[in-house]
Amino acid sequence: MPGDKDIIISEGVKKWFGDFQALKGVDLRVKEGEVVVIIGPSGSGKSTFIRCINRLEVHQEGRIVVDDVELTNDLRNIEKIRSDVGMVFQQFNLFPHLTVMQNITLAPIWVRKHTRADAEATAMALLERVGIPEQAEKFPGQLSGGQQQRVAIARSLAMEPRIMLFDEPTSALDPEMIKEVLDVMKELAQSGMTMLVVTHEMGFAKEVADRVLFFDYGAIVEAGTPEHFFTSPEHDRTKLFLSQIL
Amino acid sequence: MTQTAAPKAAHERPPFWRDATVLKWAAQIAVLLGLVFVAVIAARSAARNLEAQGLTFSWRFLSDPPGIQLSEGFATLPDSGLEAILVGVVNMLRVTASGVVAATILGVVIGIARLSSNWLVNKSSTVYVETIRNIPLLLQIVFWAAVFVSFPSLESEGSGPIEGWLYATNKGLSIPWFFPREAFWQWAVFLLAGAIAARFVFRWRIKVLEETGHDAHAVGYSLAAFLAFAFVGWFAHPLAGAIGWIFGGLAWLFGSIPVLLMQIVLAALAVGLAAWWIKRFLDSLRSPAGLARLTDDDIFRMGLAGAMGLVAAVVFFLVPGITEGINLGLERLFEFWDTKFDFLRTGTVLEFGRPTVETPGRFAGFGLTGMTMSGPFFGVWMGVTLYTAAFIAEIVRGGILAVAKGQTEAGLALGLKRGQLLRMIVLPQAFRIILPPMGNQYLNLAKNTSLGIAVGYAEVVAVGQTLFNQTGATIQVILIWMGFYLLVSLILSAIVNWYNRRVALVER
Amino acid sequence: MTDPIVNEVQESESAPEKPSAGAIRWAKENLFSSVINSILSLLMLAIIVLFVRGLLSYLFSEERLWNVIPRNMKLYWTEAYPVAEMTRTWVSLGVVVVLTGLSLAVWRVGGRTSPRQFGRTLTSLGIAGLVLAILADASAGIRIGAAVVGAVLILAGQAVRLMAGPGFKEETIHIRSILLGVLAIIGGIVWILPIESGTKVSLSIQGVLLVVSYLLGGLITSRVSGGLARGALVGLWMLSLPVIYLVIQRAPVVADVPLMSVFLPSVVGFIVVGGAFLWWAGSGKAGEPGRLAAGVVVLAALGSWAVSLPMLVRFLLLGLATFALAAPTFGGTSKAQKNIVVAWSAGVLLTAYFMAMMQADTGLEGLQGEFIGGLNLTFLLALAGLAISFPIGIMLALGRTSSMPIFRLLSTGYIETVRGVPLITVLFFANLVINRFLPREVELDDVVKAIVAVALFSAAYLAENVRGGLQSIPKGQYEAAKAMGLSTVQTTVFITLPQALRSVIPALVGQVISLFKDTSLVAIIGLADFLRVARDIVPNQPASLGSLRESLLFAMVIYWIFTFNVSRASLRLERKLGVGER
Repeated sequence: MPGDKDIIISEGVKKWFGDFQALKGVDLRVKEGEVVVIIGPSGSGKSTFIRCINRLEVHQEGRIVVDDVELTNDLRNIEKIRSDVGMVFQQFNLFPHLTVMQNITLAPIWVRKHTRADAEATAMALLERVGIPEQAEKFPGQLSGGQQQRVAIARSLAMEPRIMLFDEPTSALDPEMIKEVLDVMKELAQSGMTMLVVTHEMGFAKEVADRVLFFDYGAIVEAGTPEHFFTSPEHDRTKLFLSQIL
Repeated sequence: MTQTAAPKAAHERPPFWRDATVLKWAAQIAVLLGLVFVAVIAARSAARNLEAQGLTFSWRFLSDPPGIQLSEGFATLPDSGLEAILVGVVNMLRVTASGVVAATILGVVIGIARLSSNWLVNKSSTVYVETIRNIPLLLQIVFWAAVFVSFPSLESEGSGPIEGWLYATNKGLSIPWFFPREAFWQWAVFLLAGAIAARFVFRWRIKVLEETGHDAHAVGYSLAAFLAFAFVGWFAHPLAGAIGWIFGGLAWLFGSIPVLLMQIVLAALAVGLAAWWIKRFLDSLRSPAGLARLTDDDIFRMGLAGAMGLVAAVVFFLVPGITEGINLGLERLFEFWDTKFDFLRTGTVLEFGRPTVETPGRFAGFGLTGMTMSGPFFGVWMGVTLYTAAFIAEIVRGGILAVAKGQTEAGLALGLKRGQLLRMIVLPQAFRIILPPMGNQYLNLAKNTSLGIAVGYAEVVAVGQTLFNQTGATIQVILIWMGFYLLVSLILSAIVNWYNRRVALVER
Repeated sequence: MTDPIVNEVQESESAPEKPSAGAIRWAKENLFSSVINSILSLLMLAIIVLFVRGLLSYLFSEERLWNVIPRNMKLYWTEAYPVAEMTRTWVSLGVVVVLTGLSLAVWRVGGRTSPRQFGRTLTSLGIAGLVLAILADASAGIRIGAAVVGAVLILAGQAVRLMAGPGFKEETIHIRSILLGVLAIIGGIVWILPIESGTKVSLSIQGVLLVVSYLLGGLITSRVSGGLARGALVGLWMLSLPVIYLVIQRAPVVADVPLMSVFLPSVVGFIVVGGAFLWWAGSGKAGEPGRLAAGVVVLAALGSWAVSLPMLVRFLLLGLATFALAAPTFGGTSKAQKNIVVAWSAGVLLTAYFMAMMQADTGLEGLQGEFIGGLNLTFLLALAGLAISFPIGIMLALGRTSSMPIFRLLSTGYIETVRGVPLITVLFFANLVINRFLPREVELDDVVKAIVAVALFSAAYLAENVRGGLQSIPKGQYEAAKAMGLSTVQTTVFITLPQALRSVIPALVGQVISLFKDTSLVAIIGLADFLRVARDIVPNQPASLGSLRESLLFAMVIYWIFTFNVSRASLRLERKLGVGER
């Protein structure tokens, strides 16, 4: 499924938080339509890395090129990247004072400059896609965690992104709600979306990922197909991590 | 994996008009320059307007005799503008201090009453709070001053509950009081030493308690130590006069130091301060390996700090008046304290005085004849006390409620008695919640005493107004007001912060 | 008093609703539950009886000059406003009354209460009347009257409960209808008081207006969508303040205003040229040239204050700069583009209109500067102060929480300086020296200076409240907005500010109440506000000498009624919003 074009290029990306070096030179190329799952222990820098890709965090060395646009301080580039890359957070981060519909249509109207009617039609279609069209007029506080996360996915999709980033999307959910979110993500992966997913859901990685990366101490320790990864990992640290988690 | 679109050279800077960092700083600097521009224009028109009115901006009124009479204070006919303002400051502090004490007591009582299970107590305290809070303080002050006027006059029969000791008349409420005399400040040194000694004694006894497990009477011991110092100091106070020498020496130093030297010192201080800040800032960014990664923001920030230090240094040289003023001020200040501690000064420490009716219908002035609360003082004091107490009550209530929920149950589950529960669990925690807003209320009280001007109480604002009506130095007086109140705020918030940190540490 | 805390906990955990107990049982539980409590109750009772008796004796003493108050109603309300022009004041009040009536209906203010609660309220009022009759040292007539009224109220209270039958706990009575009844009673009392008959008639008309506009509001809500009606009403309220004070009360004479030479060309020019510019800037295609052009307009607006230009042009330039900065963010679609231009044109027209009214001399005989006084002035200061301080306060709060150090430094410096000094010093500053710092052709009058001082002072406190709200917003909200591509301005307007303001409503209302109370300080710098009328003007009339305390008590009651009701309303609003958010 993955196309030929490298849609994300990351070369020697380094990042410090004060004294702590969170990223120690990350090199990665992601093809269009590829689904990459990133696993690793907490504090390994995997979240920091995907947050660098839409510039929620600013990398200090190396370079990141997303869809032929390098991430720099250039206002024009930041604007373009932000609307090309969607992101789903661990804590959903829905806007509590807006209805589900308003949450989804806000950015299409004010950033993409769509008309309200168009935006609402798209939003309704997306809500149907994630399976909760009946919740459109409710406030986020009235929804369950799984529903909120699905709204968050719909909200990102409304911007018609070319890349979707998922930062531990199921970690804050009760076990019975994880499946409904993963199902939406699987459907999205099958539709050809480029996805970078930080997760602890190994089942999802096995089933959907084109490639699995193992992050530790701010660098990619091991990369490969799911089969390779879960059957014959090479690196000791990967083995240790997998033995702890599986 | 086929390579596509070989990326361009690493890290090329975008053009400046699209660079987020550059734009951010450009906007800030533009606003700053705009404000400077406005300030310059305002200053220029102020200068022109003053000239047109035949006035000059000078601080001479501070040393000239102001030719005003104040209604109360330690000098009702001040020799200089500065003394007049000091009289106002002292009056303001007097009413603030007594207001803080009274409002705290009343507020805490009412706050606890608002939580009482007794319906009558509970409702009456609620009515109090809801009434007082919703009426402008100025109106209350004016009202109490008006009530004061309706008290019986001093001439009439039975004007005081106890003739010669206690009066409640429309000329004042007068009670017996102790007054500091010549040697008071010398004695105060002993009191301070006693307080420090008491602290050490307290710690020592607590250590004994912890080691032996017996009650070591820590409070009793430390109190005894304090009293011992006070007693010895009562007779030995002239010894503390030596402190006067230090102040005298300092006064001489600042009186004789050349302006140029002082300018150099001040400029070095300004530059040094900026350098110290930059160094600290750099250190906070540096990793143990000595590596500092500076963002553009950081560089701008350090540049700004450095520029500010340099500008201050240059200003000290360009405007020698500032340095002269600082020199003179410090000299006067230390001279003042020198006289307070004068070695040759001997005499009594405190003296007891009873209310005296000087001429029919008037109390004797400020001094040794009992403490007299004037009508304006009464109005301001009643007003700020009752008003602030209502707010303090709400804070106390909120603080206790915030703790009471889970902690009370936990304490009860541990088998603590109610008294212990309050003393050991609830109050310490409530105190921590209550303290910061309490500090704010004290600050409000201090600022609210400025309403005394409406009833003719001679505090800073009222004195200032009299002063500029006489001299025309309006801008200067307003600057003095603002400086004074800012100083009071800074000191108060410093105390609250310090206490806050201390309590927070104990908590942990 | 030894165990208030423990009792509080028990109280909050008490069973849902005990079966209504007799008075004796209630007293036993709430007043005499323990020995200490009983002593406390008796002590408190003694204090209360003494206090109430003293107060009542004072209030009803023969020496009190209460008739001073109704006789001087006009002074309290408007101070020196010409008697011949009083109709203007009545019209102003009428505008407010009509808007109030409409708002009450459109927002459906006021819930319901149960007959039990209503009966209780009536009964306790009745008991208060009886207490008055027993304790007050008043004339026999008043005592008998109070006793009769008290007895009637108690009977009415019991009757309400009995008539409601078994459903007496259900909330069936509209608070609005009770209010209507109270209004009718007040209307009746007005006719008994010793005031001029013209005033009585006017007051009655206002009452009728209130009822009619309330009914009209009900009619409107049933025809028009709620959002539209509410939006229109908010707009009308905002317009009503300048219209009342600049147009109705001030009676401007437009003849001396350079309408043809300055106003007409400016308005046409700004609408045409500015509109075209904004059309382009808001098209979404202006890009960097658009930003550059906006920057140029900002510079021009600032520069206009350094050269000699008509005030109108300076203000319109400032407005254009604001619009130009906002246009790229809020424009984009052709509809948004159109909205921006329409809003701009309306803004230009309104600004020009109000500036013309402001520059015109007042047509009132013999009153040039301060034509407003009394309660009217108090309200003007409070409302105008609020209207100006709110945007400034929000800007300061944003500045203080900004990531840009210079903005943060400036905002913090301003906020801390202003909060560190008392209002009276700011008022003196505004009153005595602000004119010296302004260019010579600008001469602010005393009321404007007071408004500026109150607003600048209040803004610092508002800013701190808003900052509290901004800081309570989780970081994730900013990140989500950023990740969606919203700009900083959009994030602030759509995401953070609405949440921040909502979470600090209680603090904001508290600040509004403070502001209202603080306006009384202008009495010190010599403005004839309500307090000054009550303290200096009324009691110093030859006919009213010695009535100072009566007058002050009256002022206290008036201030209290307003502030107390605002704080109650905010509690209700808080509860309502709290429910909506869940």
